[in-house]
Amino acid sequence: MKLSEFAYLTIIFIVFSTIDLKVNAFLFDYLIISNFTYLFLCYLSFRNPQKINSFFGAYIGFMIDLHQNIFFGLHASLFTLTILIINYNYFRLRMFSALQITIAFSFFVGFFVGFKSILLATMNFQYLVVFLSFFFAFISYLLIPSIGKFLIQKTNI
Amino acid sequence: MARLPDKSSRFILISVFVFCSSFLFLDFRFNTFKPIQDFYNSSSIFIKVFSKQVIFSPIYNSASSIVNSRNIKEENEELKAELNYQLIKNYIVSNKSIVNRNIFFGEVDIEKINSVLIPSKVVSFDVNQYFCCDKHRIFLRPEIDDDVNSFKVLINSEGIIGQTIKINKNLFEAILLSDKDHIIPIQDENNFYCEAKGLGVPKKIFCDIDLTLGANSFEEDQKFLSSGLGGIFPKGVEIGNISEIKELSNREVRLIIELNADPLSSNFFGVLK
Repeated sequence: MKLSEFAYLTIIFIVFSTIDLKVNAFLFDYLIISNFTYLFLCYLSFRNPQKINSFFGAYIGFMIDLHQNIFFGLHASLFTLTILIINYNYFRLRMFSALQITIAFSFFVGFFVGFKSILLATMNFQYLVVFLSFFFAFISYLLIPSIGKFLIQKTNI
Repeated sequence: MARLPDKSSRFILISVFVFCSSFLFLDFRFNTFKPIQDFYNSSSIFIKVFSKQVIFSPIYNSASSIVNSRNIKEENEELKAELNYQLIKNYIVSNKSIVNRNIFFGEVDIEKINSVLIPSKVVSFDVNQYFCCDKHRIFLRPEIDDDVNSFKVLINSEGIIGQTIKINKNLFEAILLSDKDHIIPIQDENNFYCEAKGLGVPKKIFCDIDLTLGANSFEEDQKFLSSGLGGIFPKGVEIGNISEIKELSNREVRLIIELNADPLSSNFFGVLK
């Protein structure tokens, strides 16, 4: 991956992270957590697993941890774990239809949200948040491929 | 064992995950990376504050000051227009006879000023031509949705300016009293009548008097009023004072009358229906 692409993707992920923070401020009352950043990473990792490898996931994860001011390594761990799972099941996932991919990634989001909630809001963990976030992720992932294609159309990713 | 899409080994994938998880454990259990996060937070806050104070605030302030000054200017224009309108109304109140169109028509109720007055604004006024030449015309636009027909009286807060010539619904021309083609019937306080023509000089009209018709004495600063004859201008409205008396011959004098109303005093006029 070129340095310019690396910087470009870093900026995009930081922007997505900011959007997530802003959107979550509105969705908090409805027990939903948006995860555009995570879904975008899933999309990229599935699109080009050679370039979006675990090192990149760790780097982006650490950046987002710093940006969101949460436990250092939380996003990094979950991102690398996600990339690891996608890499291990790449050829299985390739056989999935778009709907199945969307459902699979929505499950990933459910796990991601649940894990984050346990660590960050241990006393206020609610299964309803995980459940509703799954549906929100399902709807969100309908848009992510189009947005992702638009954003990386001038790169070689 | 599952096949991987690239050549990177499983060991790398898993070791990176373990490495990140150990970071998470250390930070979660011992706050090991708090200094790094504090440094990042303080740096980002410093950059935010610095960029806000040095870059964005000046730009925002200059942009908002431009918008504010534009708003203030528009507000000032509105207030000025309203003030001029009120001044014209005051003029009508203090010269009630102006709304009694002429001697042939009945009196109009002074309380209904708004129904007899069409506020209008200057669209084009060739000031150079006004000062240099004989043709003194103004193009105006009515401020309300009302037709302005020809032969209506145009006034401002100082008095009668001229009369209207309709062009279309949104535009009309006004011929000023000082235009050389304009004639207004006037009278003095001794009921001496004459037809004053525009002199082609700003704020000046003149009457040529045949002295053989009657012995009248004229003096400078003598007041002249509109006579209401002719059917356009109202009767008894002060037009101006004699500024100069020129002797044309033994039997004829020219009275040059300086008009009270100056068309340059404001851009806002009123048309009497």
